[in-house]
Amino acid sequence: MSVSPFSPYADTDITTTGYLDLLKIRPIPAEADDVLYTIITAYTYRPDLLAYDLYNSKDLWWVFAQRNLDTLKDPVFDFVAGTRIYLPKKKNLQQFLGI
Amino acid sequence: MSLISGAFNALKSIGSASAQNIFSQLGAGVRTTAQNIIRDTTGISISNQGQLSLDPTRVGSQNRILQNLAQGVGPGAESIIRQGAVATFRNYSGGGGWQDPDAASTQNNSSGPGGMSSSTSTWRVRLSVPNTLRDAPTLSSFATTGNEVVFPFTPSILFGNSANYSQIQPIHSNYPYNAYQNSQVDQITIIGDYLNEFPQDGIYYLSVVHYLRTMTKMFYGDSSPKGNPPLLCRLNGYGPHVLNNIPVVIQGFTMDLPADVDYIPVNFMGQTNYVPTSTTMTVTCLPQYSRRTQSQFSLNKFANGGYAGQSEGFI
Repeated sequence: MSVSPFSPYADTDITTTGYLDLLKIRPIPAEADDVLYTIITAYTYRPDLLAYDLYNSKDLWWVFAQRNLDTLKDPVFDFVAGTRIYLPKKKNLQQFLGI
Repeated sequence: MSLISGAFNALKSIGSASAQNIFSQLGAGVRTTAQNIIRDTTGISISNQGQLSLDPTRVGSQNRILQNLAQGVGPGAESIIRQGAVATFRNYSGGGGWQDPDAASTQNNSSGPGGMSSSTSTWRVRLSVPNTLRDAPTLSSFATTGNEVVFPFTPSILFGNSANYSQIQPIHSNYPYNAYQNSQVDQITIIGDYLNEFPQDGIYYLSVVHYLRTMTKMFYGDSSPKGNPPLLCRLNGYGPHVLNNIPVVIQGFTMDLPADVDYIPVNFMGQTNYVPTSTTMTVTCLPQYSRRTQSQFSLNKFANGGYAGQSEGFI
């Protein structure tokens, strides 16, 4: 069974019994050209919508939390309007994640 | 309506290709309104030909994308403000609208050592790149600004003219006589800020540093033409009656690498360099008029403004 490259678990091994092994984090490094963005009301608790609008893929919802570890402790419930986060560029994600 | 206006106010200074790309991702209803706003506010004509029809299932997404545009975030999380920053290196036409930088450079002729003359449509302060250096890969960034070094933010400039007199003070007199000696154009000091927010800014900044280092050195050793002094360039800015095509040599420059700002990595010539996000550059220029052009100087013509906009910038 293979995991989608869009998944946060794509690098995580799968045990012989079919379960996910210990998580291997997929880092999203800070880049100089990342854009500072203020989350708008329409995206509150919905990082999947922002990922869809920016990257055309809802499955990349987790990259915002991974890029903004200090700001988004919880990838969903810290994703509220008014929070300022850095947005990784799509071309950088394609390089980091191999998508 | 106000939402769309806000979004496209952020697009005021981007190029037509970028605007077209963003525009093509909107729904037909939104596009029609946006098309008019963009045309009225930016002068950019957006083609509506062959675009997507309005998909009711994507209305919400398109509304959100518009709000993102208002924050300067485009598709793929690309910054449309970034493109605005690039536009700071372009030439602004007083008649409205951004010009292609090459369009202004075509107005320059190749007379004089620097090969540049003043263009009335460009008023930013700039130093020309001599023809000898234009093929240098380190200075290729200047091709985007008409082969001129542009100060992207309004610099402070100190300049002046002076007439020198020697005082003759006869014994037992109340008033000395001032005997005229000569006049001179004083050194010109330009103090400009460079804010390097993105790698492209850093590349331009590094090119400026390399240019100034080059312009303060002679052709020594294995150089060609060996033995020549540092090159001459032309200073322009603020129109033909202010700084018009002044032949100058760079006497010196100073730049700071502050400790209290961030540094960003920049890939320059295939190698990583770190540049400060904010720095100040001070350039000192000395006007350098050749003997031949000095011999053609006419004070009557000068007083009548006859040298304004001409290839030889007497000030």
